[in-house]
Amino acid sequence: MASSLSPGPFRSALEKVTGVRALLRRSRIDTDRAVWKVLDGEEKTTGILVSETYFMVRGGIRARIAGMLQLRPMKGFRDETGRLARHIEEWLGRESVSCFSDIYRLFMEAAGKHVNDYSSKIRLSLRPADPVRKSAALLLLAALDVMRRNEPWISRNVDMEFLHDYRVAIRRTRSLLGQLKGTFSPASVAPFRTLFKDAGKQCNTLRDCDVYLLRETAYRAMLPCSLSAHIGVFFDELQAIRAAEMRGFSAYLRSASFRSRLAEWEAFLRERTVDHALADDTGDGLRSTIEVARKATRKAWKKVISHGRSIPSCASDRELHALRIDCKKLRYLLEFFTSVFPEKTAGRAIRHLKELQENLGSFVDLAVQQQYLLRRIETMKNRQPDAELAAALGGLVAILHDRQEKERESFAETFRRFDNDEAGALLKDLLNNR
Amino acid sequence: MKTIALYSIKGGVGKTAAAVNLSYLASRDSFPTLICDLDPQGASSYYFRISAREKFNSSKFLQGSKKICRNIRATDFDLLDLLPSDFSYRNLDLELLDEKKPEKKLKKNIAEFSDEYRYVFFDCSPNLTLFSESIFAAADIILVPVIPTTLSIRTYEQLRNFFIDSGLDVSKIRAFFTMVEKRKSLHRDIIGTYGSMTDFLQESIPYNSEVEKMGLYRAPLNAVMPSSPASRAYRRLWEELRTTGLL
Repeated sequence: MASSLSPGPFRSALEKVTGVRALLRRSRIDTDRAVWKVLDGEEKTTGILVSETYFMVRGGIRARIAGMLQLRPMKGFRDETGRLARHIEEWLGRESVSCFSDIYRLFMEAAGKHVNDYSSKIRLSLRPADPVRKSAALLLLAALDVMRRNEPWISRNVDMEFLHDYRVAIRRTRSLLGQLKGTFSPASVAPFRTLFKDAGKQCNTLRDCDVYLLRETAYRAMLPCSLSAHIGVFFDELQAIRAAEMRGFSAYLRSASFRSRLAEWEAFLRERTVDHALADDTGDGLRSTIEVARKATRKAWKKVISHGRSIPSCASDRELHALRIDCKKLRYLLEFFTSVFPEKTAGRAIRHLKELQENLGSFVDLAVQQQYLLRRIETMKNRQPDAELAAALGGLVAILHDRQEKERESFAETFRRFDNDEAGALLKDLLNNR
Repeated sequence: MKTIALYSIKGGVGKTAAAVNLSYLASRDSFPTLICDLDPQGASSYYFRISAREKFNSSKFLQGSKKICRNIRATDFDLLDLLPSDFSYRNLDLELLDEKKPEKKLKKNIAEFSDEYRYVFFDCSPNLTLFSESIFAAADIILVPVIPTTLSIRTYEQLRNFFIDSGLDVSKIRAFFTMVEKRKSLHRDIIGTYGSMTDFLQESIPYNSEVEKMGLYRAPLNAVMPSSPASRAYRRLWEELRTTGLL
């Protein structure tokens, strides 16, 4: 992790871009570096010329990947060095002059990686007129690809995002199957719905552990020193639970039955990416992608609005939980079908939804955390009681509760900002012909 | 930002040598420093091997900091930049006549560098013109090198009198002895008489042929021969200046 480096500008710059992601060593690069002063006729330094040659080192053998010449003018000597830069460009040929991001791309390609070829988001260009059965199969294959790419890394304990992305792909799969019911014949898709429901369940506890372990610093900061010292036990336990859960989940992922079911799923989807009609096609499955996208989105949007409007200002936990799920469903639909909606309309709708989702997300998150901590306190009744730990967890519950109530209070206002004329216009734009 | 003008009505007293070495010492103490070569003869520019761009001239200088900024050039020493001299500076006083408040002009121009530099040194030309008055208004210290000779003392007193007569702030003036040859009784006598006056700094620069060789090295003496007697004297002088309370 970037946070494990010694403090300094490099670490802070790296932390900003890596966040919770860990760094993996993909290759070793050696650099040969030479530095020259560029002098004018008066022997005044007008610039610094740095030449770097990069070698990929594998099995003790150095193979040259690229070289870079960098000319850094001294202040006030840009014109003089500019002339030299032009000479160098002519001499080397313009195409060989590159910036550091090009060099980085070459490093990664030499190590067999393509920069920016992964996103946990599904970004597909769908054709509006295609049967929705085909488009849905493509989206689900993309989600499966995200699962496949993260799966090998989950049990290696590199960082927690592999599991997170894996779970999001499962959720997207389940959400799509649920919202586009009838796209595939219910009988053929039912066992897969069970499969993904189960796969999600298999790693719920594991993800919980990750989430709380990630919150360790934040939790400790919430408590006074006298209490934060006693919360270590809680995290030690989580580590132990996590290790056991990880063993279980890894075994599940490796299991022959899971692997064969996943292979069946892939085969099922691949068969359904064709344009022509299939024997088990349903009437709904043959409808155009755009038609289904509009219908499903309109339905999901209306649901968010009508549910949201029916929630009184003293919203209950249950009501806000339900609305959060409605929003998430809408969000997934907007993401799935971004490419068939008129340009930029889905993005604008997602941004409009964002604040409400954040409010509801925090609310539910805070509620879930309290429940989790309260359950842990509950277990102490049966086991050896630990007064200090109970006090620390209790302290956290109180703070989380306070924050949850603040989110609850701001819900009505946040929803009002969502449910305005702009929302109406956005929906209209979305559902318009492009 | 503090500005230090190396100034003397008399030529050849070691203004440029002091400006070059003191500014170098300031940058060595990790302070971003600018040396402005305001002498049309361009000796300090020469010492740093820098010439002005063809397009830079006195009217650009008066137009203010945007134009000035573009002409500031890095020396070969970290944190030390130089605004090169240009021969057309000889007409600066004529052009200043067209300005509404000539004496404030320079002060206003350099105020815009205050974020960038901690110290700004002016290497001034040896005369007393409208531009000199602009320098007197802009500088926090007017640092006057004085050779311990009767003539040199006389011109120094003329400068002080000019300040008093013109209602300028005479407390900004600080003198220090240069080219001191201890074996000369006249030097000893003059230093004995004036050295204890409050406007004179305690440290002085000995006569040292190495200073003259700066024209060959084309670099500050303190960078090339830091342990020569003159280099050590400049270092002590810089330290004394920093403790005057003026900087």
